Amino acid sequence: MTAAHLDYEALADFAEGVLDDATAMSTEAHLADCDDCRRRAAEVAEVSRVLARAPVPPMPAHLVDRLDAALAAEAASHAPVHRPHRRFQYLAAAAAAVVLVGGGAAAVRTVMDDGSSSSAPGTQPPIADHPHSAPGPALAPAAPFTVVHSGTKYTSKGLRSQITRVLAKPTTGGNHALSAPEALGACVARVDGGKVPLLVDSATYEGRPATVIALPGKDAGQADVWVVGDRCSASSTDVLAHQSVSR
Amino acid sequence: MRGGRSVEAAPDKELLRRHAEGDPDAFSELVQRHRDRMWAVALRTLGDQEEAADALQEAFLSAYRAAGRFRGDAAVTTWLHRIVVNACLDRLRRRSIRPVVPMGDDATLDSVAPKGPDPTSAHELSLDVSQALQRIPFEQRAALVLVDMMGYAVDDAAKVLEVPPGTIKSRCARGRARLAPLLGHLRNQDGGSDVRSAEEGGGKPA
Repeated sequence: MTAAHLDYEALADFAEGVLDDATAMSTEAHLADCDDCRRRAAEVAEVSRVLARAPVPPMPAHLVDRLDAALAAEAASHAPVHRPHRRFQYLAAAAAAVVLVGGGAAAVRTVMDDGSSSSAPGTQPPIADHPHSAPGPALAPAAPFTVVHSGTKYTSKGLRSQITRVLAKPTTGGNHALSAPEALGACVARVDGGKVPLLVDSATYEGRPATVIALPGKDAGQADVWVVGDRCSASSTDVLAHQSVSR
Repeated sequence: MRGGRSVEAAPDKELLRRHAEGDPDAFSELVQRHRDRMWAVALRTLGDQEEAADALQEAFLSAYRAAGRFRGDAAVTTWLHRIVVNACLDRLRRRSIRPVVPMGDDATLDSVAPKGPDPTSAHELSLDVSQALQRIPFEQRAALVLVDMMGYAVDDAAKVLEVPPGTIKSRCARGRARLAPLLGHLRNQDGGSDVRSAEEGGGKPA
């Protein structure tokens, strides 16, 4: 027996070859004589083997989908900016859509009501006028989008039909509009690609708080639907789902 | 010519360059190629699937945006690994899902005996390893994930973590020393059903 017993740290350092020569030699000499320390050295060596054979569960499909959707959202947020007259067409179409969604209900307030979202980074500048304006409080000037609260409990399986239903219903009695938190304004701006949403519904998706954003799709019969979680903000999209839905 | 199909597969650097130049498909190809490995790193580093998925998402988004600043002198995988590890560290710092044990702190070791059922399946084995890994300092864990779990050479891990190889060796050794008592029960799983001490310490009963 030479000297005191060796602790795990000394034994691990020895095994990894990071000790100076003198310490390494005395460690080796001690190990030659000491069963206890040899047993602990074997335990240290076994750690690497235990780590190497620990299996990794594959990434669950729904998390893969979320990742793909987030990357798609990132790509969309870098879509080329539309030229002014194109943008105007979207706005005109969207103005009509807001009426559909809000049903012209007086309860619908606009995002701009509280003024807070006007300074949200990344949001589109307010629209100063709306020559095609339809009557109704839902069309307050300078409203980039309106947030409704349809009370729909969106699910992965039902999303397609739920969206169709909410978009098709001109008046949903239970709807009430919310003023959008600043983060939501910035969040919507991340996915909208310069388009004005048909629907921004503060609801739940698969039981968790979520915002459902429907954008005009490739043609009039389509909506491009994004479901984002409550962490969606200017810097991160937090996409839960993304799909194209016919309406 | 390794693999025989390399004619079709563009190198990682080529894909990253194409993405930086606006090719809309190049980056998703890169993600497909490396997602599983990056997932393994993130999951082992964070020990929680939701957290790992969030970190992975943040990492790939960072990579997506930073592609234009990629310096061609490193391998793309090295760069991606670094971004993933940093995203994991960011998550731990921001959200404090578990206390980050500071470097060199031995005081917590007495209270970190892994709890839970005896490992009798591969799933429980990995769960226990995962729990034990969360008990060691982040720097040691990151080194062990890359070297012992992912099987990377010390020099490659050093490039990912941007420290000298000697530092990787030292972190691995310290990490193994801390894990040795925590993983003791996994070594003995073929034997008796309870080789852990009942309460604290994780060592064998006196």
